[in-house]
Amino acid sequence: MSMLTIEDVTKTYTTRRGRSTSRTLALDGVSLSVAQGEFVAIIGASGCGKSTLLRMIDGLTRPSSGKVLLHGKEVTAPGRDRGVVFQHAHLLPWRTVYDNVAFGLECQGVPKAERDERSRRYLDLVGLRGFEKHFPGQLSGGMQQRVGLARAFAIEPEILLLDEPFGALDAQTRLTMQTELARIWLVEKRTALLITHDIEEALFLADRVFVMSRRPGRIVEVIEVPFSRPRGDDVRADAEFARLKLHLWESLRDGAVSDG
Amino acid sequence: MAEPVATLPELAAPRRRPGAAPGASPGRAGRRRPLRRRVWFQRLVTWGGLLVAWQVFASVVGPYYFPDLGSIAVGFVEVVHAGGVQLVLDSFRQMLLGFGLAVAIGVPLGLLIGSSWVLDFLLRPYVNVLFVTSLSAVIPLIILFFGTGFQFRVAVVFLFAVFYVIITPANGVRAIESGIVDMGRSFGAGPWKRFVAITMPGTMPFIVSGMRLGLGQAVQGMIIAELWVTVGSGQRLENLSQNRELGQFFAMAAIIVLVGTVLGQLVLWVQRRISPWAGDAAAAIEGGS
Repeated sequence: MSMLTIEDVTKTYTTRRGRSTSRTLALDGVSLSVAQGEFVAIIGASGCGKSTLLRMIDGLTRPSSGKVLLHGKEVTAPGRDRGVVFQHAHLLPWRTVYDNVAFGLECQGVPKAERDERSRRYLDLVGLRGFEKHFPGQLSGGMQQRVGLARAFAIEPEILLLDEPFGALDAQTRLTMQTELARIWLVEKRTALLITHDIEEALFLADRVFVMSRRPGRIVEVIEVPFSRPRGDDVRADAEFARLKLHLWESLRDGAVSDG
Repeated sequence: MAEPVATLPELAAPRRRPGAAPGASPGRAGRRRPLRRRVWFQRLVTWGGLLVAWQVFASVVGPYYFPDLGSIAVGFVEVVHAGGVQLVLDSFRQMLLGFGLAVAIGVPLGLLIGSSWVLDFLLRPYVNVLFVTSLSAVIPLIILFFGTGFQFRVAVVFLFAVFYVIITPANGVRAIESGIVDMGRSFGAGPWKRFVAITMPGTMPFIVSGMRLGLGQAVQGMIIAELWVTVGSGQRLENLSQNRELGQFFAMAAIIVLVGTVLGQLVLWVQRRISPWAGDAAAAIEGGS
């Protein structure tokens, strides 16, 4: 029994302008499943609908048809079983780092003692011990994302949803954060779904990689990533890594042509 | 593994006061800046120059039109002797009532307008009327409604202040990144939690900024109302002006400005205490839509 099942999901956006109505098909029959403890990545070009898919899994929007099932139950609203890491950390600037990590726990009514314990533990895990009293404005982009990671981990969700989490960071920080995420993930091995346009990132972090076509988005391919964990930076220099990267790139490039 | 962190001085003093004067960093013991770079010197030169220019102008133009510094100094003494300070404080006390009303009604209204497109659509035109209208010209109309007593003065102050007190928080609600609201929803924050944990702290700098702007307007409204119905400070100003006691006139005006400034700085201080991350939020100043 898989943890997350997406069954033939489509999403159509309707915009009305005066008398005319235009419909945009954003997702066209997406199906995939994620097993417990798996780390999967979805790669696709910009605008292919991957973020829409993630919002559906998080419960922020509903599919036009098809189903999103978590543990067999349909997803209708955001909940404590899903934790999101956003591309821009969206930290509350008036709260300290510590209070930001605790925010998710507060929303879910976790009692104070447990909030304290979990916030500290996950702040430690992401390497920000000592920065509890800092404000987001005093942190670099990478550090802010670490706070975002800690916040999502702290609610101990069933599945972690990462929406291009490192897309706003510079190239070097991105590499550092990928290694960090791999290390952090290994500690608890939570089920994770990563949305990214960075092929190397997907290969480095995931167990399986799904390729999404250009709009309207469909899954065109899925590959297994053969590298064993823990994965060090040397994986990036592996010949197989390069081969898979080229294969995925070709798959992306040749994804079904749309009106986009 | 840990990343290069923000510059060390920032970490050593994480709550560096946003208003700290540029030349006054406490950590620079031992290094003397040139005289012309010290802030107190710059202020001395600026104000000193102003005073000198004032004196020269007054001497040229003559005491009927413009008092020189000496007569202003004398004027201060005379004004204080004649209970002028008490008069000013009385006027301010009454102003605070109108201002308080403006805040109590305007801030929630502003937050609602900012949060709801429907309300914004319905109410903005009326709010903008307040901005565009020359309220001083409308005063006879206000007298019709409220008479010339205490209620009238409160109403005038209210109308002068309420525009900024509504419009600034309204814009502040919009200024909160929508991503943050999404983030809140994603973690399961209900509408009340989102209001308390996101909207309120997020708009606090704008609310206070709106209050500062409204306060300035309220003081103007206070004086104008008193000028119209000749009571209090307004009446005194009018008399002094008629009698060409310009030294006292300017002294009185200076006292009013001083009290107003102190109040404004108080509001700013409060804002910095409750929302240190937001600086002056001067960017919140937006008139009309």
